[in-house]
Amino acid sequence: MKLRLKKIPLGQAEPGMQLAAAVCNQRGEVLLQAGCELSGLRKRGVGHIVVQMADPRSEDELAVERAQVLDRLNLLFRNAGQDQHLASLYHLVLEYRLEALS
Amino acid sequence: MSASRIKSTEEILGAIESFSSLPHAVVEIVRSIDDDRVSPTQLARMIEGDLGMLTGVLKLANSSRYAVRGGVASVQEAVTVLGFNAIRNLACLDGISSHFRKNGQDAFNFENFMRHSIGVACSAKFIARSLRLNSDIAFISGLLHDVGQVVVAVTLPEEFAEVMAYKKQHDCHVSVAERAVLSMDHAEVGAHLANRWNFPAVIGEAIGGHHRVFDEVSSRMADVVHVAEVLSHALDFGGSGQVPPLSHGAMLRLELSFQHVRLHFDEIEGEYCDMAGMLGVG
Repeated sequence: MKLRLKKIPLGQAEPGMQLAAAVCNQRGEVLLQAGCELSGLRKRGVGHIVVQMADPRSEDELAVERAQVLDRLNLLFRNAGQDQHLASLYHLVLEYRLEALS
Repeated sequence: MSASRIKSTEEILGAIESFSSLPHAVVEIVRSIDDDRVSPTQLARMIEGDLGMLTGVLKLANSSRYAVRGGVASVQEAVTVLGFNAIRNLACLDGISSHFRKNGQDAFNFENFMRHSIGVACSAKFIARSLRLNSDIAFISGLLHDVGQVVVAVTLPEEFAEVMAYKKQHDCHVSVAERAVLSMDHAEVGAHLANRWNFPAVIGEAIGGHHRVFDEVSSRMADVVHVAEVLSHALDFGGSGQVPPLSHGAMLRLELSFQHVRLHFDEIEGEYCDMAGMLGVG
């Protein structure tokens, strides 16, 4: 089973979850290193953390989801024509969606 | 009444005069958004003056998104723990959502409207933040940018149904359908309402200008809301079905590239999912 990094609201953090990335503020300063306790983050303006979670989907299921992402994106951008900014946006959203399904 | 009898802008505006405004507390909070002198106590008074909003804000502030240990029991406490701007945004979110949930019409999909409004609000907030513009004004402008559309849906339901039918038949953007069926689009209606409610000019310009950014002159907040709307459709918030045309002028004026905004996609989507979930439209 694959391990995947997932960003979750602080409120969904559960005992045993491993902090997979350091928590930073908007200026990029590290508030908490990976593996530390989460207490006190709310008051410091942190809303989300990144944890490592197991992904139960098989390779076949992921391939189906990747195809669905592509179909949906093609539908959403069907009237985008040759617009260069929209072409860039299309590729960035595709990259973002596929990142979670790789 | 059939849409063919509506001939002029005056008739449309006359029809929407029957709309009984937004809740007083929402109008009051939006009016005060660019006033730095408003204190947490004054904000709390505005919220506490509307029992529905007070209940809604406390419910949202105590949701799992914020996970406040022991919970918050008052607006003052919520402001202390979550921050002044967060509570002001939650108050507007709750007020608008509650109001239009009650006043919905058959042809108008309230849930999609709220999803879209929240999506544009969250996108506008992060775009504004990355440009060092006021992200709270951007959030509220995004939240209210389509208020003209929902007011048309509520006050002119038959005409709104015709607009939706035209949009579907021609596979076009809603503002194109509105101009074809009515004599004005929802942004113009929204600008009229923002003026009637004495909203700050920056918000009125964003609401009224978010589809007029193809002109050479546009306000920065209208440009932000316009780009946020395109991004929101691209990220599929609200199930709109298509990405609308993008103004290159707006991108140029803002000196913005989507490559830069890409860094915030997960934050935008995270906040969108949280807020839509809190309001039960996720």
